[in-house]
Amino acid sequence: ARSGRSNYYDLLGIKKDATMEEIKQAFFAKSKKLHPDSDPSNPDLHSQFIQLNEAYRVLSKEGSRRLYDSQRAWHTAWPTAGSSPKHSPFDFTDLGPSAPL
Amino acid sequence: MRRAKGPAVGIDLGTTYSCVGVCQHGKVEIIANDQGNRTTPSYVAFTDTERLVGDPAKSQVALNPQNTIFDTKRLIGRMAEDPMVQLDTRHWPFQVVSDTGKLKVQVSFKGKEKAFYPEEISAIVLAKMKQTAEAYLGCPVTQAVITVPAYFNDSQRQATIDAGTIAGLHVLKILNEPTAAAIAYGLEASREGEEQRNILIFDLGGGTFDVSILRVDDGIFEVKATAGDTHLGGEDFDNRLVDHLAREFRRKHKEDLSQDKKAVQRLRAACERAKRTLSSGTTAAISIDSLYKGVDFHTTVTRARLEDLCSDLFQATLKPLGKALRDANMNKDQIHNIVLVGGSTRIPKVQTLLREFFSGRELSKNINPDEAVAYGAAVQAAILTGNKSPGLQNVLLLDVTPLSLGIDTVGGVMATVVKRNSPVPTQETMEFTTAEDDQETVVFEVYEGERPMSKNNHLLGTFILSGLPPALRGEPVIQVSFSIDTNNILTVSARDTDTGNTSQLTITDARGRLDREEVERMVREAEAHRVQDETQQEKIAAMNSLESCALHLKRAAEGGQALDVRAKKRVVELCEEATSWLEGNQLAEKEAYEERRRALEEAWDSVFSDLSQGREVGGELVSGSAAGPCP
Repeated sequence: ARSGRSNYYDLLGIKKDATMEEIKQAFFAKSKKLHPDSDPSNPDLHSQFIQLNEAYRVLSKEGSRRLYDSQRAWHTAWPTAGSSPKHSPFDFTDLGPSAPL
Repeated sequence: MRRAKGPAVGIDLGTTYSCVGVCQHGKVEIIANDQGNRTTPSYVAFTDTERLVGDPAKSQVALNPQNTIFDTKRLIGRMAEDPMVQLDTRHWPFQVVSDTGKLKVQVSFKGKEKAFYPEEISAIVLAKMKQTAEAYLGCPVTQAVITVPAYFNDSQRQATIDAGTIAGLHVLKILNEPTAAAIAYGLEASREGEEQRNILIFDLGGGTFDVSILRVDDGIFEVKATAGDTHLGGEDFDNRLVDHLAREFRRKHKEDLSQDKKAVQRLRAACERAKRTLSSGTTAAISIDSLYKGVDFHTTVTRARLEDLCSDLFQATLKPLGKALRDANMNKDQIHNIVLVGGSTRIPKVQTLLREFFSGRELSKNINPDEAVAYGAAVQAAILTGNKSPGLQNVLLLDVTPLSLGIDTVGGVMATVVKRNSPVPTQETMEFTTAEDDQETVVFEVYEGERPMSKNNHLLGTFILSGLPPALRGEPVIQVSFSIDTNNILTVSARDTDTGNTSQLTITDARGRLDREEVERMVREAEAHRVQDETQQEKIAAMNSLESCALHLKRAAEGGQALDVRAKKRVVELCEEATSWLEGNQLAEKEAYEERRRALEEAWDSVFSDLSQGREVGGELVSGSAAGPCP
């Protein structure tokens, strides 16, 4: 249920058909600007880097990238539907089972 | 965040020795301590009158074994029930006690029993490194990068940060030792035409042996494997040499010195020196006057002999090499660089064995092996404080989580939320649910480690989310979020999506860690100690100054031929009186020594003013008075 978030491709500044190598290079390049260590006096970098990190985590693995792409496709097809339903098969956060505690 | 003025330093806080460096204008300086040594023993000693750190602490260890603390790195961030701790404790001459599960070392200090947390002892060593840097730089040092072994877990890293805080240092970053060594060699970027490079760090120090395989990809260091032997290093080689020479002494002089702690300590110090000599030369002479029962000991040790005595220990370094390669799923040819770290890698035989293992490959060893880690830490400290020299302009080291993090679920299985080697800072959320109908509270146990079953991993802390409304099992949705900041500090929070109830745990106040008040108390105590140490130093300086003043004036008076006999007698008497007063007053205040000295100087001046009314004086006398009577 991440419909409100910015588009991961835009965050990384890459095209939708970017190769894995391009995704990695884009992440490293952006990290140099957005990592909190690059400017300790800028407190905003922390959350910006966390978003960048999330985008990279999702797009750098074939499985989670495919799910993310289909989830976006679902939103494009049903723009009025709001967020995807809970436990939607398209929600990439549900890659692992919801384990009982 | 505010940037402090003084330069940030890099500190290699080692098991047996520590080292500090600073990177300024793109150049790294390793800083020598007040004894002129570029590494400082990680030793702290407590006596009836004072606290000693570094070289003086190590050199008196035989005389004061119960109150000389070393190897703190083997204790820091560990709990009393840790089997490693229980094994180590048997071999230490000092006492380790458990204070509600937290470890402490117990010593007698100024006549009183006192217990210290390992963090406090490490803080004393760190404060010494800080002072060493301050003396060299001429300004306060408040920021540092401190290195730890790659296999250190969250508690051991956090405890190291606490030690830094107690020492008055803001810890900019906890850096993995192998990563620091790789940075020292400029290996942070992959070369052109390379996807990534694999680096093997061979670290044979004073007490431990670590092999790490790193994969570096444009500034991101991943630890692919670590192996080693936590009890193999230079001290073991020293021990072999000590045993050998004690046998030789017995053969030559029919005396057994092994029960005389002082003799063994002197022999051990000589053996350590001889071992170092044998890394460059092929023979080393050992010569100790009156070693035992007044017998002098003179002998020669050859490099071949040392290699023979230690051959099984040297061979033992090869097994972890193979294990690390297997764990990293690599073969020897996939390793791009082999980096030597730790003083014991200077031993030619160790290098030969390693080179043979890698079929004659070149070893990276042009940076002093016992300084390489501090060197890399200093570079990283400069980067983090914005002191980027041209070569460092584009360097960013992305920290990754050293171990996977997750929570315990039904059946004792660990659900991993943040995978090992994830770049930080990061935040990851996973959904969980209840295991029973109408479950009201959920207990979260946070673990780190790579094993599937929680019990085989390391428990970081526990927290509870309560007030769940009645529901069938599996129905509630509980979002668990793991946040890790740039310093690898983990916060775990849980939120019941139905009620919006939340609960959270910051691992800084979890099990095994010192709480904030404790750290603050220790910071104050450390500060007080620093003042005490300074007072002690000033007192000793005043005492020495009085002593040398008395000696100097007595000699000057006795040698000054033109001096009036009565004046001469008066000065000599005063000097002798001061000397005997000193013998009975070793614990006087600084002011008392200074006052005595002033009295002596005045007496001298009055003699000299009588004299200078036109009479001839002896040469020594004139030079003495011209330069001021006392040195």
